[in-house]
Amino acid sequence: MRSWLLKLLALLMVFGLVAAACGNDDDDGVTTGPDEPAPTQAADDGDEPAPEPDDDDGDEPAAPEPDDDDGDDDSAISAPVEEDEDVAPAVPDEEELEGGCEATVPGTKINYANFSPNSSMDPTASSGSLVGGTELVNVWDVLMTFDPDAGQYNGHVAESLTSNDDFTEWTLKIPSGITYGNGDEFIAQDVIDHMQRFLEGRGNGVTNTIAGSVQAIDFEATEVPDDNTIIFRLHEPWSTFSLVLGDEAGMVVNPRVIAQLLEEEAANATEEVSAEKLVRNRMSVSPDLVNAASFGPYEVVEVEPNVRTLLKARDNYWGGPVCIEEIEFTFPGSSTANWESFQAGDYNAAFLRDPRVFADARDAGAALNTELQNVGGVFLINNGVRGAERIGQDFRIRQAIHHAVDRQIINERAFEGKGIITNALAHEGTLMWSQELQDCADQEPAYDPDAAAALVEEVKAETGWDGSLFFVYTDQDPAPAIGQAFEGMLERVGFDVTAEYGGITTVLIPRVIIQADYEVSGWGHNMDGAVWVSSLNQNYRSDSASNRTGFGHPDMDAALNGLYGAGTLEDQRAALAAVQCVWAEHLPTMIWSVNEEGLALAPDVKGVQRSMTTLFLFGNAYIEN
Amino acid sequence: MLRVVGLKLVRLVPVLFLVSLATFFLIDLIPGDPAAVALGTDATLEDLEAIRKSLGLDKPITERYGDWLGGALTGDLGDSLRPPNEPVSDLLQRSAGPTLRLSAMALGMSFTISIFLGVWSAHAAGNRADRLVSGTMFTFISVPTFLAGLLFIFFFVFRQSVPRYMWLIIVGLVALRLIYLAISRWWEERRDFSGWAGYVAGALVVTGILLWVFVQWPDFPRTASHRYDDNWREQLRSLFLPALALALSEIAVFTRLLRADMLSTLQEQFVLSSRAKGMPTWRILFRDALRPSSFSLITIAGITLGRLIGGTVIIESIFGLEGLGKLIVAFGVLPKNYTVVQGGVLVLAVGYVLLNAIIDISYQYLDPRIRRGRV
Repeated sequence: MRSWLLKLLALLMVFGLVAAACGNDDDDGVTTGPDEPAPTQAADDGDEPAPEPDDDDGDEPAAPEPDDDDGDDDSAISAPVEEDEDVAPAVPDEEELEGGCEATVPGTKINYANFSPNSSMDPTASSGSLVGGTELVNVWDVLMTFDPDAGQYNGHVAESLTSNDDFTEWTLKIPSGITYGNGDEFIAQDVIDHMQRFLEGRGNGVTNTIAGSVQAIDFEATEVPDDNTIIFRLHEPWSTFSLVLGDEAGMVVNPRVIAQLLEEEAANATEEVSAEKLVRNRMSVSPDLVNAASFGPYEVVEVEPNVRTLLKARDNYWGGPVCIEEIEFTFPGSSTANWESFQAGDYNAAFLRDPRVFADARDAGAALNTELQNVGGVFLINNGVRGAERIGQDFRIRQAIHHAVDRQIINERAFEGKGIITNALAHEGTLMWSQELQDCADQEPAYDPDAAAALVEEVKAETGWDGSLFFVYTDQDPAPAIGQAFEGMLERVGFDVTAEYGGITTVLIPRVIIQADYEVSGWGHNMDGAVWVSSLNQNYRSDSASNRTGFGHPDMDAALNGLYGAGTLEDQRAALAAVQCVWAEHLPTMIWSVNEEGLALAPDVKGVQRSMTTLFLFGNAYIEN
Repeated sequence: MLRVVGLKLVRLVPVLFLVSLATFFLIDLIPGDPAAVALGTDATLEDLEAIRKSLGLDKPITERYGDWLGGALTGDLGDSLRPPNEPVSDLLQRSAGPTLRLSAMALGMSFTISIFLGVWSAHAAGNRADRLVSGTMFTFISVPTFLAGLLFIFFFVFRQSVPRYMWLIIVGLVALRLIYLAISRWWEERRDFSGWAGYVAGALVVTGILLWVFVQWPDFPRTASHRYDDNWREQLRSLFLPALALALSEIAVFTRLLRADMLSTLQEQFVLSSRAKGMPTWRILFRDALRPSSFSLITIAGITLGRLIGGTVIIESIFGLEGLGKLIVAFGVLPKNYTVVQGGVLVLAVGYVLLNAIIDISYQYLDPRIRRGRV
């Protein structure tokens, strides 16, 4: 009897386990499901309706008065669109300003899974938008935002940004009535002081794209005619100057707080550690200092550099009530972990950056707010940085690399074929793509290992070079798989590849940026929807101090000059197509894929605004009731 | 006694010195430039040379070690090379909490489960229950920690009905067993309802608790990266899976060890004497036999706790827990942030050797023969 019963129970147990394992749990906290709307790019791009206004809410802080008398010109924000075209208002409209958050769930919190933990709360010491940019923009606010889908810059803190006809003079208008956390008023001179501090903190723009762009400003000639106006004078025409004010250089830190801190730290400074560095370190870890020097929608509650940041809504935000009360930024560990944690309901916003994960997210019907980063996958070829002798200077070697590499093989190896491969500076479907550009890109050498082998043999025979090639790349997934596929294809055609895989800070920055000690690097640069002009100029201009490839050619310089002066979107597309044609002729570097990156958001999270370099603004976000 | 403690502590000094020395030289072998970590993405060649000099990286390694040791002896573990250059002691203090909580929870789970299973297994040596426990323990030992972590994530987070309904089946089996025992008891005691009622009450309580767990089954988080400093229930919930993954192999080791020691103890004269006196089985097992059987368990528990604290890095990475292991590897070893590695390893080594010294000293109390120098 007992034996029979036990057998029956064992059978039932096995059956139960199999049945349970085969089915999907409906109650396991998965936040998205097949019934959710089909995934779209830019599902939430800030166009969501604002929460219902509450006319009775007299406790809200006074907001800057929109200046109705200035007419359309002042509300129009900058190129690339025509100057008189109406664009998004500089400050939230009246309804939003007076509105409450009644339409939202009270006590709401965003649990945000980071791409990489934030190392500093000081925008002048930030490591870029992927590493803490979203934390920063929600604390400091930003002068301009970028609508990646429309390719248009909009005023955020700024009331307006307008240029003269040749894009050499830009006038920035800021509103009155905005105060920092310590009660100081935000004035025009603060913007200049902050930009100069930012520039000094960035090695005077030698290596940083945006900082390099700030160098274009002629600070000697820049004017501050009144507390609400700054006139930037540039050394050269620049139609996309607005981008400078859309990143860390546009996240203004109260200069009076900085001056006071510098005074305090002057006594502690040594020859090795400057007072400025001590101030940056203090700003990085001290919520009180950050809150006193900022006016963004959120205040810092706790910050653990490289681990976690906790923000809470600022009570007297100049832009009106902030509906989401807290945002906690933590780092689960990888794109996969971010997605899994999001699925499990641990997070309601998760940053993703892996084609395999995006494929899973789309299969699950997740609401995504993402964009494609052009030139996301690139094999940077050293064309002789700072005059060094490198085999990549020989055009035949660059040709051979292009012939040797099958982009689809890399895609299969690294991303199970789910990545997006491309040979163009702008991929089809992105803002700057045009058929002319693609036609030029298609002139690049196609996959042909026999032709590659012949070229390698020819160079060996002619120069005595032994085929050696030093390749560097990161050691983080999926880089090793990409690197190994790349190595294999080069070895096959006669290259003798020595590879080094390591951390970005410990290996790649010293190898690629500081010492330029590499032949090919899998890590280098990308060109997202806003910074593409700067990125191209930084890395492919013959007179660029921060040219990571060492490539320089008069034709390329001329083509890049065309980019700066192109005012309309059509002009910019045409200018980029011209750059692509020069590119296809000289092959300075090999482009192989486009990266998608962005947020998976829980279906009830609304109003998140994506800006340049995938910064996400939560000032107008809310959780739908 | 003080002499014994003093001697133990003095013996720790060379151990710690050798650990710090080996760590310093090993970290130097890792490729990469620590100066670049200090500079970040905006470095130039000139900046690199300057920072190398200011950090003393241009000095010979022995001199650098001497500088570090001098600071460590005065309680200064230096600053992290990575901006914002926080003091290493602050970083360690911040990361130690999650790791200690995780390790303590894993050890607590291991003890609780293994004591019950080990004692039961020894009591039922050779029968079906013992074989079931032994087989399960061998399975636990065979599963590497990282795999256990991934399996737990899959089943407890994404297929939570599997463990939940498994639990229900276990509840059913336990309930059936208890009913069977109750009926047997009733039959043996010639339908004496007083004994039977006790069994039924016990069966109902046990089944009820197990059923309550089934009904209250929590949603386990995929990551443990959130902080719940003021909410112990949430802390328990977020640490449960990583702790269970860590505890799995320890449960197996503890259970096997305790079973072996218990088997030997249960043959002792005093146990036979207790049985002859008619003492209840639970009293013989848990009050008479468990204490003298626990020496090996306590010894190995000390080693285990040290290993758990130092070895949580994989589990911390899988579950996104910002603990000591992750600090040392992700912020220390990988970016070659050697001050963090040195400080972290030193703290772990101090914890490990101190714990073992305390265990050595505790034998004096547990066994009078050791105290009197007869063993």
